[in-house]
Amino acid sequence: MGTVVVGAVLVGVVTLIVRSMVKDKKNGKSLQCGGDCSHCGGHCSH
Amino acid sequence: MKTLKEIAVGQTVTVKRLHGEGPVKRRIMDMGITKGVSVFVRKVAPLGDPVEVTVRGYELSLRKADAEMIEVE
Amino acid sequence: MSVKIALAGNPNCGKTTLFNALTGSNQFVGNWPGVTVEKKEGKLKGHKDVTIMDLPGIYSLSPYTLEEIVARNYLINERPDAIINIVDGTNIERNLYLSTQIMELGIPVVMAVNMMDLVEKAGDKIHTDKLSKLLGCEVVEISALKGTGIQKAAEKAISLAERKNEVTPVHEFDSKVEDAITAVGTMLGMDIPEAQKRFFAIKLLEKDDKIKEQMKLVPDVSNEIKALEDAFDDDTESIITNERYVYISSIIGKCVTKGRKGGMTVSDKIDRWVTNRWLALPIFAAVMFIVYYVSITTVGAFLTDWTNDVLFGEIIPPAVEKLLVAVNCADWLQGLILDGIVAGVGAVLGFVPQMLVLFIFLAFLEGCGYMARVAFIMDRIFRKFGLSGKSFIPMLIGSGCGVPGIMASRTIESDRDRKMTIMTTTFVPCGAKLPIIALIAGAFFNNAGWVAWSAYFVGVVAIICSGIILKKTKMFSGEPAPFVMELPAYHMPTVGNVLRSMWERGWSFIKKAGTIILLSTIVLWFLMSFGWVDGKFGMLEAEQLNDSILASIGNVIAPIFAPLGWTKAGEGWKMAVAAITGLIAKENVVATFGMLFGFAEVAEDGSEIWGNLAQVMTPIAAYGFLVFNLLCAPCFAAMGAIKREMNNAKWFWFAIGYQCGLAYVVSLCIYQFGILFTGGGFGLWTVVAVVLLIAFLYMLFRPYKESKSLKVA
Repeated sequence: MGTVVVGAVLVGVVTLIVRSMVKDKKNGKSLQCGGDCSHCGGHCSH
Repeated sequence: MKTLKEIAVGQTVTVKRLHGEGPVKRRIMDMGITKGVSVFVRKVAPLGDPVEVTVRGYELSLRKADAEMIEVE
Repeated sequence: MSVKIALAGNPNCGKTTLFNALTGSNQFVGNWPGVTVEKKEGKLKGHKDVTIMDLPGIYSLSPYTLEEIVARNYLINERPDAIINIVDGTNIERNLYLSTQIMELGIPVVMAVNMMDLVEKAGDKIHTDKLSKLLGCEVVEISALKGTGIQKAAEKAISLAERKNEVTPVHEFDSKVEDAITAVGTMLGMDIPEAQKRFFAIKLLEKDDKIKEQMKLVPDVSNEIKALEDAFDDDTESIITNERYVYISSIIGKCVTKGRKGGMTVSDKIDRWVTNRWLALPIFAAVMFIVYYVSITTVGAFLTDWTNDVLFGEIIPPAVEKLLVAVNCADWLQGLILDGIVAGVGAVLGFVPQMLVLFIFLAFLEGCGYMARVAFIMDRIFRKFGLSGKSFIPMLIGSGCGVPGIMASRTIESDRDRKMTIMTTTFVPCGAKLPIIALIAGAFFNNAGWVAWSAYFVGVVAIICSGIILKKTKMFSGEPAPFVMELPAYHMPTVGNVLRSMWERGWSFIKKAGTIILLSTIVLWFLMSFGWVDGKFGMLEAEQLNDSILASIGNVIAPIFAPLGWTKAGEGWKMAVAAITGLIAKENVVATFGMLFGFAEVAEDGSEIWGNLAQVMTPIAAYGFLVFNLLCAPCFAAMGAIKREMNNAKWFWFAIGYQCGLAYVVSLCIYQFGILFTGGGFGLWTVVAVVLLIAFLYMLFRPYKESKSLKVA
């Protein structure tokens, strides 16, 4: 019983990860910090 | 013909003319180095290139190869 | 009704701070279609129907840089309802240059003069009323940092947008130029509205080819161009640039009253020391030493040790195990979760504290203006091997994590320099490669310090050699771009901005652990735990690892790596598999060895498996293995970053192919020459290594004519 529940949770988590990765990919921002340093908050603090 | 490249650190000169053409020239002009503006050569980088100049109240660095395009007096 | 307001201004003028202040957390970050220029959009706080668009920071609307083209295409084609033009009050003369161009677009403009607090502090005065009259737009004083005046600026922009007040530029050029602009204006087709005629006329006179693509009817203006060029003895583009600055110079005296003249500002005093001819390099070395000393050994090491040993050692795994036992979970699933996911993801998250400390330092150095000086100091060296001073910043960040490092290459304007930087940045050992170094140093070299130092040395030499080799290839030939860079005044970055920058970069790393690494640990666990025994597919016992799917895959690819000395019978596939999992994430390498040698959990430096590893590889092969992992294509996440930044499949594969090829050749040479000099004999592969070495040296030293960056007319 526990196995089924844990397994279901795991499958759910994996699905969420894959979905978020697919979504990010569609938005054209696969794994990034926000990137452009001249746009970065740390760069232009005035 | 004297160019900005030959100017010693600490001197102020007036730009007489810009040579060359296209993107490089446009870029230098966009940054405010145009005919008649006065340029103060502030310092040279530790390894001799690029140079730092004060123009229109701010600091700009440019390579000597690019400074050679700027004719001054 | 919905209103669209664009923010436009120079880099370093406080645009992003203003954008954050106006929109709060309500932002959408993406890319402009087809290019790697970031596109930021947000809703104005308290106004759901007002969209704020943050345009890239630009100096001009010229057709030469990607940012400029993106910004101007947006302004011409999408036509926002109003523009807020942010102007840095402390550097107003050059900032107004862009303003004169924005005024010509025929879109309502509000000028927001930023950093008014600093202007007043310096004792200067900007007469905004006169500025408003002489430029023909509304002017508001703001301080984006303190939040003063920003609401007023936004409200002005909204009311202008609603009234559809078009600006008419009031600035005037020389009468000959004005006549030519008027003449060209009358030739324009009906598709161009009255208010934009000046903009298009000027662009045509400037011989701006990109603008012609946007027009239905392109009149022939060569007579006007010729007349102007004869009269001024210069090209039209320069004449118009010149005229803009002439106008600005003529009004600046009326609009700005300088306070106390002369005297050095604090920024000047700092700069006198920091970029001093003799002290600059020692200071730079000291700064780098402190940054790395603190983030890798002291504070960072303390935090990382705690995360690895306590959080992912004593707290999380036992708690998860207890929970799984309590719900009566099957053993195989417990194995997957504990040995696979928790161990794999934990190993990666262990680096996060170290990385965050490093990113705080880097964000501070960037925010205070020191990074621009680093580019200034280092340019001469980097020029020598085909890179630019700005390449140093991505490489510094890349020593923490390659993903933000590659992203940071965006600040390099020259396409060629940027591509080369992207290809070489990941040669710098990143945080995730440190455990591999520790593993090899511990298992084979008695923890000798030179192993770690040599890893950085190999990285730096690889960058230098690659730079020299690549700049001589056809792909990278061509005119180098100018290195014309603003050196912004030093200032204290705000805590909020430093933390935001740290978090943005650190987050990419954490996200990687939660997504791609988590998935890869599951896949790896599956490949290791299942296989064919006696022709039957099923789950394996621990000692049947050699029958797993992973072993079958490993055995197929192992022969490729045989010349590198990863040959030990029945075990060679383990090195191949570890290197392959390293392509998913370098953190995987140590963890994979741990699993392959039958340890559920290994320490960060893999001390449990030192003995096993020493049995399957010779020290020479092990060092080659280390070098291969340092130089070959980085992890999935960094490869994704390369793909995005190159924005071109051909270049992406060229970069990955070059990295892997170089890694293979170098470790082949290390192993073959290593066994040759230790009396291991001479074979076919020794010949191959010699040939490759000669080819490499030829590529490095072949004659090359340096193309100069200038064409003196």
